[in-house]
Amino acid sequence: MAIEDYRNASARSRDNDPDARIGLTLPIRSGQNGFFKSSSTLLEQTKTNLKNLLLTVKGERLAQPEFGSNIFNLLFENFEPGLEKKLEESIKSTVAQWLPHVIIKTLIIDAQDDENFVGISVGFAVRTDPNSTESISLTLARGG
Amino acid sequence: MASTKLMPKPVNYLNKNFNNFKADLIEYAKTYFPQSYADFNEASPGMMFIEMASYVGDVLSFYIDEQFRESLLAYAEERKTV
Repeated sequence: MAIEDYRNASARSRDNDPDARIGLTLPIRSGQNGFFKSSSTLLEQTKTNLKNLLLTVKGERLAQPEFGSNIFNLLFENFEPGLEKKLEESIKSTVAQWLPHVIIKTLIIDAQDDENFVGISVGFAVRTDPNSTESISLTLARGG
Repeated sequence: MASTKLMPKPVNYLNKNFNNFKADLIEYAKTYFPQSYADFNEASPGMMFIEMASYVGDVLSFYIDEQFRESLLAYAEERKTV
């Protein structure tokens, strides 16, 4: 379970402060003043966090065996009509558990059985600012 | 002019497991880097690094405890230490 719902009203004021940084972004690169490149808005940071969460397999993270999603495990399932529904439920439950401040607006899953990949596109917003949306797209190769 | 004395940082030698290291590192980041880092959700890459450091601390603490125990004859368990 997420430590705390750390996003409250102060997150909005932090977004407006040009000097305040939120956290590290992916891919990890060098930023200003010798620090890692970091985000300056909650939405930008949430994009990185969501990507990190969905691409982590359960059991992969040290000392946090429940952290992550089981998307990669589902990719080894037989290709059947219910696969997209399973992926959708898995993503929604994972996000609800670990990123409770995220609202999923759109979730498009494109499972291509003949191309051996699954494309996942997630449009989302954060509870402090539901009108601003952002999206991530993941392309995962299926087993084989 | 008043002399400035450096206050010693409180060091707790008993908080040596994963959760305690993690809590201490989070507290440290909140205290010394409030403008540079504010994302303490497990999903963030920064927390990933904090947890990795906590894990290393947990493992090293285990070996420190084990070595100390082996230095006491009454509690030693390995043949080579008795």
